[in-house]
Amino acid sequence: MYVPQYAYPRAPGKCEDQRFSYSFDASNLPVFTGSLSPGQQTGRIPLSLDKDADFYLRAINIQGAAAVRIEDPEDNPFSDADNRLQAANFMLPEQYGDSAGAGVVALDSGADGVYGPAGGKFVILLANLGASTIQLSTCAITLHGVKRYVEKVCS
Amino acid sequence: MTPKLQQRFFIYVLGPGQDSRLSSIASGVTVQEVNLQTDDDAPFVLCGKSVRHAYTSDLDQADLQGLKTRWSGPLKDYRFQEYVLESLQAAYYGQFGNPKPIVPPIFYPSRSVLSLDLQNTGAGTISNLSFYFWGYKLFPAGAVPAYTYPRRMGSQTFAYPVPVTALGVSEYRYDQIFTVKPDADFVLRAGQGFRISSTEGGRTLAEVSIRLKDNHKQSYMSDFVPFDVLFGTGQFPAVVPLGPTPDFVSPFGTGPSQPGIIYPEIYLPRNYQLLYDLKRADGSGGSNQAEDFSFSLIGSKVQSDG
Repeated sequence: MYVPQYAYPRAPGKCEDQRFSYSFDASNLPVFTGSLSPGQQTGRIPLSLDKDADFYLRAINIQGAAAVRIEDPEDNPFSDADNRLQAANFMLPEQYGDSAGAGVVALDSGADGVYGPAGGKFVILLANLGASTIQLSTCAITLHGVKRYVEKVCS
Repeated sequence: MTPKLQQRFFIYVLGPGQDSRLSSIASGVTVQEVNLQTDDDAPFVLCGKSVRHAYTSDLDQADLQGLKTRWSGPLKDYRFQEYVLESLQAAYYGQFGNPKPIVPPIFYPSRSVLSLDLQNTGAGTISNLSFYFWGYKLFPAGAVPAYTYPRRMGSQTFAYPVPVTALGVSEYRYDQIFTVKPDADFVLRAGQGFRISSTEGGRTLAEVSIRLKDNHKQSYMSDFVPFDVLFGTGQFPAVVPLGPTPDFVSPFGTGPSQPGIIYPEIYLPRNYQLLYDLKRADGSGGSNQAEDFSFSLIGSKVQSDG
């Protein structure tokens, strides 16, 4: 159920968009093998993109109880409320990207999606806003979107 | 877009505060001519509808199951041949940010009347029944402050978490301020509410409502609207009745993948202050206490591009 809220335009010129998803969990990101105590937060966790093509992020899925803050490769956060409280800098998955399997969460994201250059890095930060320790091995994040290939790379 | 008119998101509430007969409807009772009069400032275009009653202690809405309704257009022209079960009109009774679409929309002139009749064919008494009529008001262009996109712009997804601290069990909290960050405009397109919850010890956080207002305190809704009607959320301890017995199901398919959509979207310039009122009506039963929670305002940042 991948439905952007608005239709996306065709890839320009000699480019070709291919649907692509990045997924990060304990199997490929060491930080997800640890735990977060109540009130604790992680540092900046880079989510590295492949080097073969630019990526346009159009939707996300998040699993786990940790609150999340995502930043694009140019350090623009996707959520923030100016440090009013620690909680205001993070999104609770249940209000943001955790759909319990009921669909992919589309992002309103400009003309093509949120741009991530080939080899670039999105960044996430995790926080425990609850009262119990969170085992990060239960957490995962998936970035859905398209890779944009220039014609000669594809062929 | 309607030519030379500006659309402004609006929800009319028809509940016990508007007609006291809706506070308690015994089994077998028919209530007629529950009237909703539209405001005199602008016509209203009805696009969606939700219905809700106050949760039971089990966090369900069992008594909705036997509710039948019919309602009219502005000329008391009923849009139903007969009373129709609400359970057969919309998924989850139009709650969780997913109102029953009214297509084609119905135009109500200012100071016109929507007349609603209902029957309780279920076994239990329905308490605090409320209807929510979603749509937009139509103002002459320029009649109310309205902001829109720059001629050249770029946008990127953005969400504002809004923390609420220590909301009392029976508290009204007026004129809370949500301020748009100074780096970009924000277009509000959707929202997610907190998780309706009840602990084994009897602490309940369920009956919480919101009323959005612009910075001139002009409201976007005629009364408080519960979070679980206006917004979706990703987890639902609360359940809705299904079928004649009924069984109870957790809403599925609402939540982050389908947040409560605010249409027409609300465009907020940088530094703009959107106001909101909060109301909690869980009361002091069980071991209820003041609670912290948060909700999210979701949309896009918009930046001028020259």
